[in-house]
Amino acid sequence: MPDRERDLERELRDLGPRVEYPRTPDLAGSVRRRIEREDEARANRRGLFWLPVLSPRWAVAAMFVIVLVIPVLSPAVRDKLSGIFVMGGDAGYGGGGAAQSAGKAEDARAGQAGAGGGKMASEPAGQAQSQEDPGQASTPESTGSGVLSSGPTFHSPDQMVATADLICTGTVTKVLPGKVDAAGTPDAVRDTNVVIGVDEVLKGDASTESVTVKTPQLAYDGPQNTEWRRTGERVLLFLSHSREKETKRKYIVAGTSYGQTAYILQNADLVATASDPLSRRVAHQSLPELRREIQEAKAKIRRGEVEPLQPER
Amino acid sequence: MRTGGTAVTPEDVKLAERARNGDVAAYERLVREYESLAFRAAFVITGDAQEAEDAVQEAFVKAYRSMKRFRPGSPFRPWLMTIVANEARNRRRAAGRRASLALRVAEGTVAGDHASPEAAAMDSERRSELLRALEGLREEDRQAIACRYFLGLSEAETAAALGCAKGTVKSRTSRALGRLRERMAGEDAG
Repeated sequence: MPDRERDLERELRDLGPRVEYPRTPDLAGSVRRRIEREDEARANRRGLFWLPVLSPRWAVAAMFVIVLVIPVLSPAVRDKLSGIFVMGGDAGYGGGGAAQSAGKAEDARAGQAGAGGGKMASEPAGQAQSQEDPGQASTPESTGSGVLSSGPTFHSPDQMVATADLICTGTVTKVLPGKVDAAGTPDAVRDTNVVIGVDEVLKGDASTESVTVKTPQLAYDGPQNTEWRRTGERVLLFLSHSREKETKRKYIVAGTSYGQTAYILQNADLVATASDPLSRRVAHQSLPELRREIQEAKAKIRRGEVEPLQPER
Repeated sequence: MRTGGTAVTPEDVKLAERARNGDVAAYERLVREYESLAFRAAFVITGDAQEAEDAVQEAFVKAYRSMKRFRPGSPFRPWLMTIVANEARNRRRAAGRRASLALRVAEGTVAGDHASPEAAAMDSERRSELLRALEGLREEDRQAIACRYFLGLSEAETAAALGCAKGTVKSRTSRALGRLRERMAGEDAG
């Protein structure tokens, strides 16, 4: 290496300690506090799970094995075990996924009926929710527009930001039929997969260019022509990763089964797809104002002042 | 012990092992040891102090959550710097802008090193010239120089920080030095 190159490198190395950087913040303390808060929150959540000694992942696996094994055991053992594992009284051990699907279909039907007005609630879902997490999830309630809510309901934009894995604006590029739940039954309901070309990521993986959002067919049909699942519609969505194995690459609209976290964009204005007070409050802002609110919420989340809502199980 | 150009200190190995087993206090000590370097690296990438702070805090939390994947006995610093750099690059992309790194020489840092005030002033002037020349380089060249010479990162760490291959770091640094020399020669001639 020529001497002059070495000289330049030496000069640069000498310069390094003299370069002025912004003061390094006290990160060690804040990182520790955040880790401890998160650990505490996790421990609390785990405590709510009915198999507290196992991590949720292993507990789900254990439940799956039990559901597979019970039907092949003797009727006497079946009766005994079903008595232990059945929660809520009248759900059968053979229910499994079918019961869940039927429940979803029931939610969707109730949503359709709810659109006609009046408060309707899917009782089994509501009971399960309140058993799992009475502190976080609210009971089913009307959104005020006649559209049914059967999931945890947000009470502040901060909670919405904390719960969403991805918040983005974009344009609906495709609306596709998804899988059929409870196929072959009168309760059969087809999901709709909505493909969004992402314009801007406000929270989450900034490199996201396109997302597919799995939505129940009958959800979001508000009475005010606020359906967002139309090709060409510009939208702002708060999304969560789908927890179902077969759709794990897809997203669902965060938190609730109605439009509290789905907005239509008209230039820089937001149009709510539900008419509960929080949706109205969010939509009252312009997009730049909401951007600022999301940034502020993210700062609160980092400081541990806001916790996400429990996902629907 | 050195691995991949980065020293592995026994203290780091012990702290990392304790952190792997869930000792938050041990992890806090690791954070304290590397927070300044991590923050400066994030600042070089994002060009914004607030973004850098957010990125580093997030990266430290992610690193703690990933400690089970950290190979015991391997150097902690490059592993951490990769996470920090990823987070910083994601934030720069999210902000939708190119980083604009503006560096300057801190005042009053050179006076004690020189026999006379004149010599100190000459050195100070030379350093300011060097920084000015550096500012004239392309962003990627500037970042390579800052990582390698100002932050003292190894080639592997710089590659992780800039999201490119080690060979690219080598060629980019060499090209940046060449351009810097040309600019300095131009200033001297002018």
